[in-house]
Amino acid sequence: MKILVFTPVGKQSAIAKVTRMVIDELVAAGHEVDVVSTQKTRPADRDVRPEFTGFVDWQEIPEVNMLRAHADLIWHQVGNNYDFHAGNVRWLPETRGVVSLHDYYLGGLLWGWAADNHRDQAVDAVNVWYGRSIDWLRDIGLPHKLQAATWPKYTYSEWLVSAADAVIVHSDLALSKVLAATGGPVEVLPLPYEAPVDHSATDPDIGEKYGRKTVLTFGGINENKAADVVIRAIAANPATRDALEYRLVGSIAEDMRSNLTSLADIMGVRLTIVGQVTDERLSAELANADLVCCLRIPSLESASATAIESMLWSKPTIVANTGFYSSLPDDAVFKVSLDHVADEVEVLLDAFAAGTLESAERSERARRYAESTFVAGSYAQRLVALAETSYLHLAESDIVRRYTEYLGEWGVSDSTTVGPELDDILALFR
Amino acid sequence: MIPFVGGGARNIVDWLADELVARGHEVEKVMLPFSDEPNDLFPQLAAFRSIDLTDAVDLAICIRPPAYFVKHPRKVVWFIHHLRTYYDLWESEFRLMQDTAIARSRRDALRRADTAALGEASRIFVNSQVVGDRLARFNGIESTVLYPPLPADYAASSKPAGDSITYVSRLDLTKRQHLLVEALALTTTEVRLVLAGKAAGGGYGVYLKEHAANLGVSERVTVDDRWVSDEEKSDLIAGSLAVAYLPVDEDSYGYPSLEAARAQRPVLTTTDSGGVLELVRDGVNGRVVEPTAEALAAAMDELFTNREQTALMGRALADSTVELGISWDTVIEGLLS
Amino acid sequence: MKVLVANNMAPFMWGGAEELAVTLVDRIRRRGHEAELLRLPFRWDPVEDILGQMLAIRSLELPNTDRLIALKFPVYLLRHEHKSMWLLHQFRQAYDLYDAGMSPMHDSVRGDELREAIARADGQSFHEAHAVYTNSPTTSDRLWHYNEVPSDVLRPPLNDPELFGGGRSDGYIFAGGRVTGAKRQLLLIEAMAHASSKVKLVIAGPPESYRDPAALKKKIEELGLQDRVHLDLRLLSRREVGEYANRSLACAYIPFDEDSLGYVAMEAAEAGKAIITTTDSGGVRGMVQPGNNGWIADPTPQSLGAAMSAATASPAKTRKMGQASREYWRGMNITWDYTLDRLLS
Repeated sequence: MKILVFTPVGKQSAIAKVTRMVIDELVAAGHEVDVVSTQKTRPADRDVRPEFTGFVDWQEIPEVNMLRAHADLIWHQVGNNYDFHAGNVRWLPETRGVVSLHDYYLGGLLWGWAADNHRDQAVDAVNVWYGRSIDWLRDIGLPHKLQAATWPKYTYSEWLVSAADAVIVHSDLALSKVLAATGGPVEVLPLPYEAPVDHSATDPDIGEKYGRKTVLTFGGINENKAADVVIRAIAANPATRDALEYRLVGSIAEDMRSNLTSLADIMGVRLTIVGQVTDERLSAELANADLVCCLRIPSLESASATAIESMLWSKPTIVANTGFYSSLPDDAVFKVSLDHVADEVEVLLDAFAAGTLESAERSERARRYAESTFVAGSYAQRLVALAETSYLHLAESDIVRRYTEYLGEWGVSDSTTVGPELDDILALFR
Repeated sequence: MIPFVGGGARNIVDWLADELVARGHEVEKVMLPFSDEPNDLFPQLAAFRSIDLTDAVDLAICIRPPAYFVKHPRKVVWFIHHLRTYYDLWESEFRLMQDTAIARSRRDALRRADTAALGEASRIFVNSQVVGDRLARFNGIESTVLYPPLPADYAASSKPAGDSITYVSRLDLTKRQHLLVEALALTTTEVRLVLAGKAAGGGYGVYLKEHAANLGVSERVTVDDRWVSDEEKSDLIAGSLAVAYLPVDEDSYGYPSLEAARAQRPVLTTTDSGGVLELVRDGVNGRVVEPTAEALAAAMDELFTNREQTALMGRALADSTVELGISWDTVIEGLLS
Repeated sequence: MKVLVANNMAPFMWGGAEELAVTLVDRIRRRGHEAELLRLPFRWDPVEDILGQMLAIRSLELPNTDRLIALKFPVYLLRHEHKSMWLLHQFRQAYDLYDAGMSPMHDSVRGDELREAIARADGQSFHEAHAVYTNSPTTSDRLWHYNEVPSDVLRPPLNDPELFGGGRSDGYIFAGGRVTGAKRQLLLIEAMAHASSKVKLVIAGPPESYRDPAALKKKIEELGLQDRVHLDLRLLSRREVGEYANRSLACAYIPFDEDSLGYVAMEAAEAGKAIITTTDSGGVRGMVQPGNNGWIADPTPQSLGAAMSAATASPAKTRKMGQASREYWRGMNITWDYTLDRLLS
C-alpha cells in the first residue's frame, strides 16, 4: 500500500518518534510511506529527526494533494499542540483517514487554530458540537483555564475526530466521547515507544548528589505535572527534605519556573530546574534519577510517553491512578489515588527517602511490561487493518458526514427525524 | 444531467416524452443536476434517493445514472450507460481518479448501490446488447434490449444515390474520420468522401484537411467542420452512396446508422465499432471490415462499383430496423408493459 | 453566461410561479445568454419528510453553471457561488401561516424543531446569496420580520405586454382573472344592481371550481342582470384576454387583500384602461390614484356601483384616465429589461 502520514517531524516531538517507529514497521511489511509535516512552522533541517528525509510541508498544497490522490491509506498523528499539529487541522477534514489520537483533550489545538486566524471556523465547530450556548472564546483568557473549566465534560475532540474514518487511542480515557463522535471503528492500542536506555549516560552539568536521592519529573513542565504537589510532599517531613533532591527537566514557562523556585525556597526543598534539554542530556538525567514522578492531573494524554520511558529505564515510577496510568499493572508502578494524591505521594516519598520503598522487582516488572507492550509491530498491522475495515463503509461515511455537517449548520442536534430516511439510503450500500 | 450539456443523452428523454404525450399520457420530465466529482458522488446519490415519486406518478421511467435511485413502486429503467469511470473504464485512462484502495472501495460501494437501486425496478431495459452484457457482467442484472429510434419528426430526404461515402458525426479521434481519409488514398475508383460535423476540440478538423492534402486526395474529400442541421444531415445522407460510421467500441449503433437506414443507404463500419454491429451485418445491409485503411478502401471501392448491390443493402438496412423493432411503438409498449 | 433558474416542482401542477419561471428562462435567452430551468421535486406533505428533502437539495451539485436564480424554498438551499433569489414567498407554513394557526407543522411532534431548522437554513442561504429579491413589499416585510434579511422588491413584469396594446372602447367594464371567492366577482355583480342601467360588465376567466360559475349565474338571475352582465368562464388564450382588455372601457379588479399588484391590473394599465378597485384589495391599490387613473371604492355594492356608473357616464374622461393609468404604470418600470438588469447584475 501507499501510505501517507501527517505528523510532526521535529526532534523534540515524542509523537514524531512514534511515527518513525511505526513507519519502520510499515516499510518492513512492504508498504511505501510518504510524510507530510504538520508543524505550524516548517522546522529547520537541523531540528528535524534525521530519518525524515524528503518530507512535504503541510502548506505545500499541490504537493499534498498529489500525494493524497495516490494514497491507499492516510494516517493522521493528532495531538493537542497546535504548533505541532496545524497541518492535521488543515487537512484531516479533507483527507479523512485513520487518526491516532494522542491526547483526548484537543481544546489547546482548537484554541491554537482559532488564534491562527481561524476564529470563525473554530467558533462554528464549537457551536455545531456543543450548542449555541457555549461561546468559550469570550470567557477564556488562557488555554489552561479553558481546560480547567471544561475537562472532562468537554474534550473538544469531536470536531476533528468526526472527520476520521477510524480512530486509534492509546488508553480507555474518555473513550465514550470518541465513540460518540465517529462512525468508524475505534481501537485501543498500546502506544509504540522505544528509548535508548544507557544507564551509564552522564553529563557534567548534573552536579554532585551529595548523598541525596534524585526524584525526577520530566517532559513539558506545565500545571498538570503537579510539580508543586511533589515539592510540598517532599517538604512535609524534614528527613525527606534532607534526603531528596527534585529535578525538573523539560520546557518550562518563566512564571512557572519562578513560582516553583519560590515555593521550594520557602519549603526548604532542594530543587533544580533544568529546562529544555537534548536527548543525550535527558538520558543522563534519567540515568541519574532514582525515582520518577509522573503525575498528570488532570490526565489528558491518550498515553504517557514519559511514564513508558521511565518504565523502560526500570525506574520506580509514581503515577496518578487515572486514564492511561490505570491501565498499567498495579505491580509495575506506584499508583496514587486521585482523591488523596498529596498524602499518598508523601507516604511514598517518605518511604523512598528512608530507603524502605521496595522497588527493585517492581521496576524490573515495569521494564518487561513496557518492552513487550509498547511495540510498533502490531500497531502498524492494526493501523492497516483498521483502515481496511473503514473502507467498507466509505459511502455511508461520506453521506453521514455531509448530512451531519448540514444538520449542524442548521442547529439540528437530534437527527432522528431523518433517521429512517438515512437508513433507507445507507442500506443501498451494504 | 450536467446543466447546459445537450446532445444525445438529453434527446432521448425529450423524444420519449413527446411520444408518450402523443399517445395520450401525461408526462413530467424530471431533470436532476449531477457532477462527476468523486468526492461528491455519494452525497449526490443520497440526494437523488430522497426523491419519492410514489403517489405522485403512476410510472417512473429512469434513464441515466443515477436517476434510477429515486423511489417509486413502479420504476422502469431504460439503461443507456453506467457511470463508466467506475465500471468498464476503471482500467483505462478515463478513470477520474488514482487506483488506490480508497478509490476502489468507493467504486465497489457504487456498484453495490447501483445493483440495489436497479434491483428495485420492475423492468430493466437497455439500449443495446453491449450495454446489456455490461450490466449483467458488473451488476448481475438481466435486461431486455429496447433500441432507441429516431425522433418522429425526423424527415428523411429523398435523392438519387451519389458518389460519396458520407460520415455525418462529430469530428473526433474516437470516430476515426482520419482512417477513412487514409482509406480513400488507397482506393482505385473515383469514390469520394464527405466528413461533416463539428470538431469537438479545435485541431482535429484542421488535421483531417491537412492529412487529405498530404495524401493527395484533397479533391475527393470534403471536410465540413461545423455543426450540421438535421435537414442538411438528412440531405447529405440521402445524396450519398453509403454512410460510414466507425467509432471505436461505442455502446450503441448510433443515430447515424438509423439515419442511413431511413435513407436506405448501407452502413460501412469496422469490426471493433461496438453496438453498430448489432444492426449491421457484412454483405447483408452494409460492410463490416477490419479497422485498417486497406480493408476500408476495398470496401469503399466495392460499394462504388457494385451499385445495385449497394442499393440492395441499403434497402435491407431499412428492413433490419423494422425487424429489430426499432420504433417508438416497440419502445413504449416495452416501457409500459 | 450560463444561468440556471431553479424552482420547485410538484408533478403535474402548473401555476403562476411555473409560468414565471418559464418566462424568465425565455427572457434570459433573448438577452443572449444560455438559460435552463431546473425543476426539483418537492413534497411538503408529510411534514416529517421536509428536513430530509432539505438535506438532499443541499447535497446537490451544479456543475457547468455560472449563475443560479432560485425562486422558492427549498430549492434556494442549493449551493452555488453566485446564487440570487427572487422570492415569490417564503415557506409560509413555517412562518406567518404558523403564527396564524394555519400550518400543518402544528400537528407534527417535531414541528418546532423543524421550524427552527428552516429558519436557520433560510438564514444561511440568504446570507450566502449574492442578492435577495422578492416579488412584493409584503414578502420583503415578512422576510425582514422573520429572518432579518434585507431584500429588494422586483415585481414580476407582464409576460406578454404586446398583447395589451389598448384600443377603442366597446363600453363595458372588464373583470378578468381567475374566478373564485377571493377574487370577489360576486361582489361586482351585486354592485351592478346599484349601478346605472348603462353599465355593462364582462367577467371572463377560468373558474377555480365548478361551484363558482353556478353562484355567479344564480346571482345574475336573481338580480335580473342577464342583459348587462356577460360571463365567459373558461381558460382563455392570452390573445383572448388581451382582446377583452383592449376593447374595454375600464377594468375592475377587486381581490381580497392580495400581496401583489395583480396581473389583471397590470394588463389593464398596459392596455391604457382606468382601474376600479377597492380599499381592501391590497397590492393593486398601488396602481391607482383615485380621480386620476381610476377609482378606489369601498368594498360594498353601493360604492362599487357608484364607481362603475361614474366610469360609464363619462367615456371621454374615462379614456383619459386610461391613458394616465398607462403612464403611471410605465413609470413604475416593471419590465423584463429592468428585471433582468437586476437579476443578472
